Amino acid sequence: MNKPIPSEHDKLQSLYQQAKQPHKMPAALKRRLITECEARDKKPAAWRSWWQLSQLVMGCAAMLLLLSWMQWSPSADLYQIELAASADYQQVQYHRLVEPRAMLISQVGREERLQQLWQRQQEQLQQASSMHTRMAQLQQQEANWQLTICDELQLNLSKELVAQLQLGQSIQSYRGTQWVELELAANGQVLAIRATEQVLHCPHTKAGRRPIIRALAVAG
Amino acid sequence: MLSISLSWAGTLCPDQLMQHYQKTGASKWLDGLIQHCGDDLYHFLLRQSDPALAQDICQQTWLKVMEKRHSFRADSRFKTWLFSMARNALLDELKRQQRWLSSTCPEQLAQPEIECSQSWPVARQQRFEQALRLLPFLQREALMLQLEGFSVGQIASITNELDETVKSRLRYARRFLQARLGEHDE
Repeated sequence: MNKPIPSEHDKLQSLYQQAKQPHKMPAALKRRLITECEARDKKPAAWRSWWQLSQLVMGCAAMLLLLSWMQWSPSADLYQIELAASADYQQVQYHRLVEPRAMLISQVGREERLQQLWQRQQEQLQQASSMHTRMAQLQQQEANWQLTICDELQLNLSKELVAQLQLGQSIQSYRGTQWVELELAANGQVLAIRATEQVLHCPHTKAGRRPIIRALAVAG
Repeated sequence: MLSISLSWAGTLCPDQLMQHYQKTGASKWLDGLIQHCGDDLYHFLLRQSDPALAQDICQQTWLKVMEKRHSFRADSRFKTWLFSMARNALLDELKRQQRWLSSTCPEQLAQPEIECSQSWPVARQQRFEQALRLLPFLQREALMLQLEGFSVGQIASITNELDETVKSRLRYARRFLQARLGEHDE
Protein backbone atom coordinates (compact mmCIF):
# COMPACT_ATOMS: atom_id res chain seq x y z
CA MET A 1 0.00 0.00 0.00
CA ASN A 2 1.43 3.32 -1.08
CA LYS A 3 1.99 5.99 1.50
CA PRO A 4 -0.25 9.03 0.70
CA ILE A 5 1.64 12.08 -0.54
CA PRO A 6 1.40 14.83 2.10
CA SER A 7 -0.39 17.97 0.98
CA GLU A 8 1.19 21.40 1.15
CA HIS A 9 -0.82 22.12 4.27
CA ASP A 10 0.40 18.93 5.95
CA LYS A 11 3.97 19.82 5.13
CA LEU A 12 3.60 23.27 6.61
CA GLN A 13 1.86 21.89 9.66
CA SER A 14 4.64 19.42 10.20
CA LEU A 15 7.24 22.17 9.92
CA TYR A 16 5.24 24.33 12.26
CA GLN A 17 4.95 21.58 14.89
CA GLN A 18 8.68 21.01 14.73
CA ALA A 19 9.28 24.72 15.06
CA LYS A 20 7.25 24.70 18.27
CA GLN A 21 9.27 21.98 19.94
CA PRO A 22 12.15 24.08 21.27
CA HIS A 23 9.87 26.91 22.37
CA LYS A 24 7.72 25.51 25.14
CA MET A 25 6.06 27.57 27.80
CA PRO A 26 8.62 28.08 30.60
CA ALA A 27 8.08 25.63 33.45
CA ALA A 28 8.52 28.41 36.03
CA LEU A 29 5.61 30.30 34.48
CA LYS A 30 3.44 27.19 34.60
CA ARG A 31 4.27 26.70 38.26
CA ARG A 32 3.50 30.32 39.07
CA LEU A 33 0.12 30.05 37.40
CA ILE A 34 -0.79 26.81 39.14
CA THR A 35 0.28 28.26 42.49
CA GLU A 36 -1.87 31.30 41.85
CA CYS A 37 -4.81 29.11 40.88
CA GLU A 38 -4.39 26.98 44.02
CA ALA A 39 -4.34 30.12 46.15
CA ARG A 40 -7.58 31.26 44.54
CA ASP A 41 -9.06 27.79 44.80
CA LYS A 42 -8.55 27.80 48.57
CA LYS A 43 -10.75 30.82 49.11
CA PRO A 44 -13.72 30.47 46.80
CA ALA A 45 -16.16 30.16 49.70
CA ALA A 46 -14.95 33.39 51.27
CA TRP A 47 -15.18 35.15 47.95
CA ARG A 48 -18.65 33.78 47.31
CA SER A 49 -19.89 34.72 50.76
CA TRP A 50 -18.45 38.21 50.34
CA TRP A 51 -20.25 38.51 47.03
CA GLN A 52 -23.50 37.25 48.51
CA LEU A 53 -23.14 39.58 51.47
CA SER A 54 -22.57 42.57 49.23
CA GLN A 55 -25.61 41.59 47.17
CA LEU A 56 -27.69 41.35 50.33
CA VAL A 57 -26.51 44.74 51.57
CA MET A 58 -27.26 46.34 48.23
CA GLY A 59 -30.68 44.71 48.15
CA CYS A 60 -31.51 45.97 51.65
CA ALA A 61 -30.32 49.47 50.77
CA ALA A 62 -32.51 49.50 47.68
CA MET A 63 -35.49 48.30 49.73
CA LEU A 64 -34.96 51.00 52.37
CA LEU A 65 -34.64 53.62 49.67
CA LEU A 66 -37.89 52.47 48.11
CA LEU A 67 -39.68 52.41 51.45
CA SER A 68 -38.52 55.88 52.40
CA TRP A 69 -39.56 57.15 49.01
CA MET A 70 -42.99 55.61 49.44
CA GLN A 71 -43.32 57.06 52.93
CA TRP A 72 -42.38 60.55 51.93
CA SER A 73 -44.04 60.54 48.59
CA PRO A 74 -46.72 63.24 48.27
CA SER A 75 -49.05 60.56 46.99
CA ALA A 76 -49.01 58.94 50.45
CA ASP A 77 -52.07 60.91 51.53
CA LEU A 78 -53.15 60.76 55.14
CA TYR A 79 -56.40 62.53 54.48
CA GLN A 80 -59.23 60.68 52.81
CA ILE A 81 -62.57 62.00 51.66
CA GLU A 82 -65.38 59.58 50.88
CA LEU A 83 -68.60 60.64 49.21
CA ALA A 84 -72.02 59.28 50.02
CA ALA A 85 -75.48 59.76 48.54
CA SER A 86 -78.22 61.56 50.46
CA ALA A 87 -81.74 62.78 49.79
CA ASP A 88 -81.29 65.79 52.07
CA TYR A 89 -77.97 67.14 50.79
CA GLN A 90 -76.51 67.63 47.38
CA GLN A 91 -73.34 65.97 48.65
CA VAL A 92 -72.32 64.13 51.80
CA GLN A 93 -68.66 63.77 52.60
CA TYR A 94 -66.87 61.68 55.21
CA HIS A 95 -63.42 62.99 56.09
CA ARG A 96 -61.02 60.71 57.94
CA LEU A 97 -57.36 59.95 58.46
CA VAL A 98 -55.81 56.90 56.87
CA GLU A 99 -52.33 55.53 57.37
CA PRO A 100 -50.36 55.09 54.15
CA ARG A 101 -49.72 51.40 53.51
CA ALA A 102 -45.94 51.84 53.47
CA MET A 103 -46.05 53.09 57.06
CA LEU A 104 -47.75 49.98 58.31
CA ILE A 105 -44.60 47.97 57.66
CA SER A 106 -42.49 49.57 60.34
CA GLN A 107 -43.69 50.75 63.73
CA VAL A 108 -40.34 52.33 64.60
CA GLY A 109 -40.86 56.09 64.84
CA ARG A 110 -44.30 55.66 63.30
CA GLU A 111 -46.00 58.46 65.23
CA GLU A 112 -43.23 60.88 64.50
CA ARG A 113 -43.26 60.05 60.80
CA LEU A 114 -47.04 60.41 60.62
CA GLN A 115 -46.86 63.81 62.26
CA GLN A 116 -44.11 64.95 59.91
CA LEU A 117 -46.06 63.77 56.90
CA TRP A 118 -49.22 65.46 58.15
CA GLN A 119 -47.38 68.69 58.77
CA ARG A 120 -45.80 68.64 55.35
CA GLN A 121 -49.07 67.98 53.57
CA GLN A 122 -50.81 70.73 55.55
CA GLU A 123 -48.10 73.22 54.64
CA GLN A 124 -48.30 72.28 50.98
CA LEU A 125 -52.08 72.76 50.96
CA GLN A 126 -51.91 76.07 52.80
CA GLN A 127 -49.35 77.40 50.36
CA ALA A 128 -51.65 76.62 47.43
CA SER A 129 -53.48 79.68 46.16
CA SER A 130 -56.75 77.81 45.63
CA MET A 131 -57.60 77.77 49.34
CA HIS A 132 -61.09 79.08 50.14
CA THR A 133 -63.44 79.60 53.09
CA ARG A 134 -67.06 78.64 53.60
CA MET A 135 -69.57 79.29 56.36
CA ALA A 136 -71.00 76.17 57.95
CA GLN A 137 -72.95 75.03 60.91
CA LEU A 138 -71.09 72.75 63.27
CA GLN A 139 -72.72 70.02 65.29
CA GLN A 140 -70.87 67.67 67.57
CA GLN A 141 -72.12 64.10 67.71
CA GLU A 142 -70.10 62.40 70.41
CA ALA A 143 -66.51 62.56 69.13
CA ASN A 144 -67.49 63.03 65.49
CA TRP A 145 -68.16 66.44 64.09
CA GLN A 146 -70.74 67.27 61.47
CA LEU A 147 -70.67 70.46 59.42
CA THR A 148 -73.46 71.49 57.10
CA ILE A 149 -73.67 74.20 54.47
CA CYS A 150 -77.39 74.66 53.85
CA ASP A 151 -78.60 71.69 51.79
CA GLU A 152 -75.51 71.85 49.64
CA LEU A 153 -73.07 69.86 51.69
CA GLN A 154 -72.87 67.72 54.77
CA LEU A 155 -69.36 67.17 55.95
CA ASN A 156 -68.53 64.52 58.61
CA LEU A 157 -65.18 64.56 60.36
CA SER A 158 -63.89 61.46 62.13
CA LYS A 159 -62.74 61.80 65.74
CA GLU A 160 -59.13 61.02 64.75
CA LEU A 161 -59.17 63.83 62.24
CA VAL A 162 -60.70 66.22 64.77
CA ALA A 163 -58.04 65.26 67.27
CA GLN A 164 -55.32 65.80 64.67
CA LEU A 165 -56.70 69.23 63.72
CA GLN A 166 -56.94 70.17 67.37
CA LEU A 167 -53.36 69.02 67.90
CA GLY A 168 -52.23 71.40 65.19
CA GLN A 169 -54.42 74.14 66.71
CA SER A 170 -56.34 74.29 63.48
CA ILE A 171 -59.61 74.10 65.38
CA GLN A 172 -60.74 75.07 68.78
CA SER A 173 -62.99 73.08 71.04
CA TYR A 174 -66.64 73.80 70.57
CA ARG A 175 -69.64 72.64 72.45
CA GLY A 176 -73.03 72.06 70.99
CA THR A 177 -74.02 73.72 67.76
CA GLN A 178 -72.57 76.88 66.34
CA TRP A 179 -71.58 78.74 63.19
CA VAL A 180 -68.04 78.36 61.97
CA GLU A 181 -65.85 79.42 59.14
CA LEU A 182 -64.31 76.50 57.28
CA GLU A 183 -60.97 76.87 55.60
CA LEU A 184 -60.86 74.38 52.73
CA ALA A 185 -58.14 73.29 50.32
CA ALA A 186 -58.83 72.93 46.61
CA ASN A 187 -59.35 69.20 47.07
CA GLY A 188 -61.99 69.82 49.74
CA GLN A 189 -59.74 68.99 52.65
CA VAL A 190 -60.50 70.87 55.88
CA LEU A 191 -57.53 72.97 56.92
CA ALA A 192 -59.03 74.94 59.80
CA ILE A 193 -62.29 75.59 61.59
CA ARG A 194 -62.81 78.95 63.26
CA ALA A 195 -65.74 80.19 65.25
CA THR A 196 -67.59 83.13 63.71
CA GLU A 197 -70.28 85.54 64.77
CA GLN A 198 -71.71 85.60 61.25
CA VAL A 199 -74.76 83.61 60.30
CA LEU A 200 -75.32 81.85 56.97
CA HIS A 201 -78.65 82.43 55.20
CA CYS A 202 -79.93 79.66 53.00
CA PRO A 203 -82.47 81.17 50.59
CA HIS A 204 -82.89 78.09 48.44
CA THR A 205 -83.50 75.55 51.15
CA LYS A 206 -85.66 72.68 49.92
CA ALA A 207 -89.30 72.83 50.92
CA GLY A 208 -90.15 70.81 53.98
CA ARG A 209 -86.63 70.88 55.38
CA ARG A 210 -85.95 72.71 58.59
CA PRO A 211 -83.96 75.84 57.70
CA ILE A 212 -80.56 75.78 59.32
CA ILE A 213 -80.73 79.44 60.25
CA ARG A 214 -83.94 78.80 62.13
CA ALA A 215 -82.50 75.81 63.94
CA LEU A 216 -79.57 77.96 65.01
CA ALA A 217 -81.94 80.57 66.27
CA VAL A 218 -83.76 77.93 68.31
CA ALA A 219 -80.46 76.65 69.68
CA GLY A 220 -79.39 80.16 70.51
CA MET B 1 -5.84 10.19 44.52
CA LEU B 2 -4.49 13.39 43.05
CA SER B 3 -2.43 11.55 40.47
CA ILE B 4 -5.52 9.56 39.42
CA SER B 5 -7.49 12.78 39.04
CA LEU B 6 -4.73 14.39 37.05
CA SER B 7 -4.37 11.47 34.71
CA TRP B 8 -8.12 11.45 34.20
CA ALA B 9 -7.99 15.18 33.56
CA GLY B 10 -5.34 14.53 30.94
CA THR B 11 -7.77 12.47 28.87
CA LEU B 12 -10.28 15.29 28.57
CA CYS B 13 -10.30 17.83 25.77
CA PRO B 14 -9.73 21.53 26.62
CA ASP B 15 -13.44 22.33 26.34
CA GLN B 16 -14.34 19.63 28.86
CA LEU B 17 -11.52 20.72 31.15
CA MET B 18 -12.75 24.28 30.99
CA GLN B 19 -16.28 23.22 31.88
CA HIS B 20 -14.94 21.48 34.99
CA TYR B 21 -12.72 24.44 35.82
CA GLN B 22 -15.62 26.82 35.36
CA LYS B 23 -17.74 24.86 37.82
CA THR B 24 -15.13 24.14 40.49
CA GLY B 25 -12.23 26.55 40.07
CA ALA B 26 -9.97 23.65 41.08
CA SER B 27 -6.35 24.02 40.03
CA LYS B 28 -6.14 20.49 38.58
CA TRP B 29 -8.45 21.53 35.73
CA LEU B 30 -6.43 24.64 35.00
CA ASP B 31 -3.31 22.51 35.09
CA GLY B 32 -4.91 20.29 32.45
CA LEU B 33 -5.74 23.33 30.32
CA ILE B 34 -2.19 24.61 30.56
CA GLN B 35 -0.85 21.19 29.61
CA HIS B 36 -3.11 21.21 26.54
CA CYS B 37 -2.83 24.78 25.33
CA GLY B 38 0.01 26.43 27.25
CA ASP B 39 2.81 25.62 24.82
CA ASP B 40 0.72 26.47 21.74
CA LEU B 41 -0.20 29.85 23.15
CA TYR B 42 3.29 30.68 24.31
CA HIS B 43 4.78 29.75 20.93
CA PHE B 44 2.19 31.85 19.10
CA LEU B 45 3.00 34.87 21.30
CA LEU B 46 6.71 34.30 21.02
CA ARG B 47 6.60 34.34 17.22
CA GLN B 48 4.67 37.60 17.34
CA SER B 49 6.84 39.37 19.91
CA ASP B 50 9.85 38.44 22.02
CA PRO B 51 10.44 36.04 24.95
CA ALA B 52 9.88 38.63 27.68
CA LEU B 53 6.66 39.98 26.21
CA ALA B 54 5.44 36.50 25.30
CA GLN B 55 5.86 35.37 28.91
CA ASP B 56 4.18 38.50 30.19
CA ILE B 57 1.17 38.22 27.88
CA CYS B 58 0.96 34.50 28.48
CA GLN B 59 0.77 35.06 32.22
CA GLN B 60 -1.79 37.84 31.81
CA THR B 61 -3.94 35.62 29.63
CA TRP B 62 -3.99 32.67 32.00
CA LEU B 63 -4.76 35.00 34.90
CA LYS B 64 -7.69 36.28 32.86
CA VAL B 65 -8.83 32.70 32.38
CA MET B 66 -8.92 32.39 36.17
CA GLU B 67 -10.68 35.71 36.67
CA LYS B 68 -13.16 35.39 33.85
CA ARG B 69 -13.89 31.70 33.98
CA HIS B 70 -17.55 32.42 34.73
CA SER B 71 -17.92 34.56 31.62
CA PHE B 72 -16.76 31.76 29.33
CA ARG B 73 -19.68 30.49 27.26
CA ALA B 74 -19.97 26.72 27.25
CA ASP B 75 -20.96 26.63 23.58
CA SER B 76 -17.73 28.30 22.44
CA ARG B 77 -14.34 26.67 22.02
CA PHE B 78 -11.90 27.25 24.85
CA LYS B 79 -8.83 27.55 22.66
CA THR B 80 -10.51 30.20 20.50
CA TRP B 81 -11.41 32.18 23.62
CA LEU B 82 -7.88 31.80 25.00
CA PHE B 83 -6.15 32.93 21.82
CA SER B 84 -8.58 35.77 21.37
CA MET B 85 -7.80 37.16 24.84
CA ALA B 86 -4.07 36.68 24.29
CA ARG B 87 -4.13 38.34 20.90
CA ASN B 88 -6.00 41.38 22.24
CA ALA B 89 -3.61 41.69 25.17
CA LEU B 90 -0.61 41.45 22.85
CA LEU B 91 -1.93 44.09 20.48
CA ASP B 92 -2.70 46.42 23.39
CA GLU B 93 0.81 45.99 24.71
CA LEU B 94 2.44 46.47 21.31
CA LYS B 95 0.43 49.64 20.79
CA ARG B 96 1.35 50.84 24.26
CA GLN B 97 5.01 50.26 23.51
CA GLN B 98 4.55 51.85 20.07
CA ARG B 99 5.74 48.67 18.44
CA TRP B 100 2.48 47.92 16.65
CA LEU B 101 3.08 49.87 13.44
CA SER B 102 6.59 48.56 13.08
CA SER B 103 5.29 45.02 13.53
CA THR B 104 2.69 45.25 10.82
CA CYS B 105 3.15 45.56 7.11
CA PRO B 106 0.72 46.13 4.29
CA GLU B 107 -0.54 43.03 2.54
CA GLN B 108 1.45 43.65 -0.64
CA LEU B 109 4.72 43.31 1.26
CA ALA B 110 4.01 39.66 1.43
CA GLN B 111 4.70 39.25 -2.23
CA PRO B 112 7.76 37.03 -2.73
CA GLU B 113 10.07 39.90 -3.45
CA ILE B 114 12.42 39.64 -0.51
CA GLU B 115 16.02 39.07 -1.46
CA CYS B 116 16.87 35.46 -1.26
CA SER B 117 20.10 35.32 -3.07
CA GLN B 118 22.04 35.27 0.17
CA SER B 119 22.97 31.94 1.61
CA TRP B 120 20.09 30.46 3.62
CA PRO B 121 20.51 27.77 6.23
CA VAL B 122 20.43 24.44 4.53
CA ALA B 123 17.85 22.87 6.76
CA ARG B 124 14.33 23.15 5.45
CA GLN B 125 13.10 23.66 9.00
CA GLN B 126 15.30 26.67 9.44
CA ARG B 127 14.15 28.06 6.12
CA PHE B 128 10.58 27.66 7.21
CA GLU B 129 11.18 29.48 10.48
CA GLN B 130 13.08 32.20 8.67
CA ALA B 131 10.27 32.63 6.18
CA LEU B 132 7.74 32.73 9.00
CA ARG B 133 9.69 35.55 10.62
CA LEU B 134 9.73 37.50 7.39
CA LEU B 135 5.98 37.42 7.03
CA PRO B 136 4.06 40.56 7.98
CA PHE B 137 2.48 40.42 11.43
CA LEU B 138 -1.12 39.90 10.33
CA GLN B 139 -0.30 37.28 7.71
CA ARG B 140 1.94 35.39 10.11
CA GLU B 141 -0.81 35.57 12.69
CA ALA B 142 -3.42 34.15 10.29
CA LEU B 143 -1.12 31.41 9.09
CA MET B 144 0.00 30.35 12.57
CA LEU B 145 -3.58 30.25 13.79
CA GLN B 146 -4.50 28.03 10.86
CA LEU B 147 -1.54 25.76 11.54
CA GLU B 148 -2.73 25.63 15.16
CA GLY B 149 -5.90 24.04 13.84
CA PHE B 150 -8.29 27.00 13.80
CA SER B 151 -10.77 27.29 10.95
CA VAL B 152 -11.08 30.46 8.86
CA GLY B 153 -14.20 31.41 10.84
CA GLN B 154 -12.41 30.93 14.15
CA ILE B 155 -9.43 32.96 12.96
CA ALA B 156 -11.83 35.70 11.90
CA SER B 157 -13.36 35.58 15.36
CA ILE B 158 -9.99 35.74 17.12
CA THR B 159 -8.73 38.60 14.97
CA ASN B 160 -12.04 40.48 14.67
CA GLU B 161 -11.84 40.40 10.89
CA LEU B 162 -14.05 39.24 8.06
CA ASP B 163 -13.59 35.73 6.70
CA GLU B 164 -12.56 37.18 3.34
CA THR B 165 -9.81 39.24 4.95
CA VAL B 166 -8.49 36.18 6.73
CA LYS B 167 -8.58 34.15 3.52
CA SER B 168 -6.66 36.89 1.71
CA ARG B 169 -3.98 36.99 4.41
CA LEU B 170 -3.67 33.23 4.34
CA ARG B 171 -3.34 33.24 0.56
CA TYR B 172 -0.51 35.80 0.63
CA ALA B 173 1.25 34.05 3.49
CA ARG B 174 1.12 30.63 1.85
CA ARG B 175 2.29 32.01 -1.46
CA PHE B 176 5.21 33.66 0.26
CA LEU B 177 6.16 30.52 2.15
CA GLN B 178 5.86 28.33 -0.90
CA ALA B 179 8.12 30.67 -2.82
CA ARG B 180 10.65 30.70 0.00
CA LEU B 181 10.67 27.00 0.56
CA GLY B 182 10.29 26.11 -3.11
CA GLU B 183 13.41 27.97 -4.11
CA HIS B 184 15.51 25.72 -1.98
CA ASP B 185 13.58 22.51 -2.62
CA GLU B 186 14.54 22.46 -6.26
